Amino acid sequence: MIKNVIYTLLFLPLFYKADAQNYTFSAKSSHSQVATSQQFKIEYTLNGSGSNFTPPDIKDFKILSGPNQSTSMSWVNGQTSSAISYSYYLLAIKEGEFVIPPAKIKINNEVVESNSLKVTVVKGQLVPQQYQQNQQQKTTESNDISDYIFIRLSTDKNEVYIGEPIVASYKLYTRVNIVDNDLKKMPDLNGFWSYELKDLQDQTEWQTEIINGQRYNVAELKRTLLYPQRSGNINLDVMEMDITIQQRSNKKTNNLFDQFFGSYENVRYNLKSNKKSIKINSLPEVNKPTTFNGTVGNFSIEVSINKNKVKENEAIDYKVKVLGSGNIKLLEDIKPDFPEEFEVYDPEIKDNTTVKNNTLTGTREYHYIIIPRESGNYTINPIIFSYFDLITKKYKTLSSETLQIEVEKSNEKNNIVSFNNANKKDINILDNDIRYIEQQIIFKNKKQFLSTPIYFTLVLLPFSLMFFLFLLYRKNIERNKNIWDVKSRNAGKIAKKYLVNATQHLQKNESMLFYESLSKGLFNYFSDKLIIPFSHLNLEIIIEKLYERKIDAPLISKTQDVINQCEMARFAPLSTVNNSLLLEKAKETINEIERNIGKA
Amino acid sequence: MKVNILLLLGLITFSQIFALDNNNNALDNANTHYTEGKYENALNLYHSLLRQHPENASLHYNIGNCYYKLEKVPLSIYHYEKALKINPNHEDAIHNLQLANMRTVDKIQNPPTFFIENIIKSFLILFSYNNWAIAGICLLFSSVIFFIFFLFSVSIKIRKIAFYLALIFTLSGLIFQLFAHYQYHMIYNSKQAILKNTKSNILSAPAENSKKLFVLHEGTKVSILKKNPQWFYISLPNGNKGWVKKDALLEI
Repeated sequence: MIKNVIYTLLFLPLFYKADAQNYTFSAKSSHSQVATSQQFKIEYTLNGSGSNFTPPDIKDFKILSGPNQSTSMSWVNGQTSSAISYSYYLLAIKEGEFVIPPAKIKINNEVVESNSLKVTVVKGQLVPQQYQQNQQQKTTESNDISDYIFIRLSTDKNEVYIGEPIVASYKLYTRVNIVDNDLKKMPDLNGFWSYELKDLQDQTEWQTEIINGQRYNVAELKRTLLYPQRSGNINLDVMEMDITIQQRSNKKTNNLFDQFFGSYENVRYNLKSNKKSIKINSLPEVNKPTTFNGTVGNFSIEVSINKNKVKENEAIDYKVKVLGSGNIKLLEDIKPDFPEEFEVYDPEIKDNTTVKNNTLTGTREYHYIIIPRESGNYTINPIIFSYFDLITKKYKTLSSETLQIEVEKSNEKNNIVSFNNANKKDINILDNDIRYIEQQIIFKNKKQFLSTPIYFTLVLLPFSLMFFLFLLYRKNIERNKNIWDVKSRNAGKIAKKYLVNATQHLQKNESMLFYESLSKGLFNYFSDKLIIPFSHLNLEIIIEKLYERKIDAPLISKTQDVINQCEMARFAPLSTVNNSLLLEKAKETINEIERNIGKA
Repeated sequence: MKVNILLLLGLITFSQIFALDNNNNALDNANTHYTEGKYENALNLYHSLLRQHPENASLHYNIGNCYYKLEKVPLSIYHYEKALKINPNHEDAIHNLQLANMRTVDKIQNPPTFFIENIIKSFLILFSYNNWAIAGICLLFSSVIFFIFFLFSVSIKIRKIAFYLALIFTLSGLIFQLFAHYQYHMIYNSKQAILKNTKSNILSAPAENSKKLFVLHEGTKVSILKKNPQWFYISLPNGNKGWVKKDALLEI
């Protein structure tokens, strides 16, 4: 095109000189001969300015794009010249010779026609069917968004057996610019065991695909390998996505920029994929082997041990390897039939799978560690393995080889670490049941004791007893105290009686009796007066008590003197004590003490 | 007159013996029915015995067994609970109650109980409340004897020992009384109930159209907090509370 423009520009002055009113409006094809399904370009060029371009009626080709308008301007020697070109990209569909009719354009109120183009189409590649059928639809563009962008769910099969793999693929088709996308809902795929072949996390690769004559950019969002787990019609779930696209705005704006370039706005659409129902057939019941447990595909089985001659308590590696295609990951546990003398540990399972031809292929290995506990020759029975072959649609049963193991007696018999200790058995609780009824019932009506009047009396009785006893005790003390009080008050009188008695004895000259009554009188007096029990009575206590009563020291020494003299005379009669003087002294002391204590 | 009184006394004792004999016959009958698997018949007989001896733990236990066999789990739970209330040490009832509780629908997490509380509770049920009361009273009377020693003994040493012994015996005697009353309270005043309907709605207010808080199923044990003529305010061990219709509950 540029070449054309340059050409036009180069020769413009010449044309201009020759005929200023001469416009050229010409059509040009990039190829005069094309093959079917080959693209080519036609171009209408006008040097000068024109308007109302009327496109040619192109029936025999498919328009891939166009009309694409381009303008060029140039100033040469003060002269302005311009050129407009309209180009189309076309696709040849049918073989034959075709004429593309001329296009029209208005120049200065005059309609100018271009030349017509002749294109020969020869046989090339096959043209997709839909182009030939839907040629007319292409011009009328639907405004429905689902034409521009949609998610399509497709599967490679529509009817399968349980365990037969299906590939489900969710693809996004678009003809518009996607600004943003937001996944709303991933399909659940209930009823299937799924293996992701491609997920959203993976990088999306855009490809082009032509559907109904429209070119779409296609990205695969999710591809999953599905293994149906139950029979019936199972719906594959909808995938939901929010997508924001750029769309030409219908709004009229006053913005010059927008008017020139057209305005775009971002529109958010909720896309949902279609649903698809898959018919899942249950596996045939006819000839179903008893060892079959749902494995579908094509398998082989190998069994091996690392040694077949061992000593007691030496571990053996027993390996079962299942090879093939099918759902290896869903294989049920294989339980080899080991002799009872072998101790068997839970197997270690190793998977090694890849996806080949839209099915899982690979191996699964079961590693058993077995320890023979007793010597002897043992055979390990073959493993019977059945599966449903999808190709022949029949069950197949495989059997591994029989293995022989020779176990020798071990010398270190005593070092056995036996894990199955002795032959004792735990009591197996078979079932739970309630215990049996009580057959002997003693019918006695329970007598209420708590909170009855008798109860309360019995609780309160000890306390009242204690209270009563305490009162008794208090009264006793009180009474004792009173006795002493009386005694103390009467001490003087009683002392006088003794003294009178003593005086009588003195007059009769009975000195022994005199001392006795005098000393008795004195001691009785102090015992009563100072409240000292008679048994505790002696001189020291009397002195002490007198000090307690705050009696003057001379009086106390006087008292001490009198008692001492009295005692001395009583027990040592030879002493020269003036009896009458002693009596007087005693009288004086008692009187003085009587006065002093009375005061206090 | 004298003869009459004697005759009357004789009649009373005779009738009592007769009644007892009657009871034992009914019990034997019921037991045979139970053993033969005629639980309905056994149940009727046990119930008639229960009417005469409403506070017999063993009868409640046997009735609970009958209901269990008849697949009436809530009623069996109710009677086991009753039996355990009267005799908290009934081991078979504890065992059977556990089995019956395993068949209830609602699984309610019991909050962990404080271990001291557990110790006290297991200590409490060592004796019946009457025995606790009697033991306590004996302690109180012995404390009186020590009190006498304390008051009237001449030796200070004896008085000291007697004083402390009296104090200890009085206090422990009173504590025993507390035990007796607490146990009595646990048995007769703590209001618990078993849900008997297969499904009961627990509502936010005592009205039919109030909000449904949660749903409980038969056999679940709840505590009664408040009572209305028609509605009970209940709480679950996990703290959930709500109103339920009175006739959905069996009070233990």
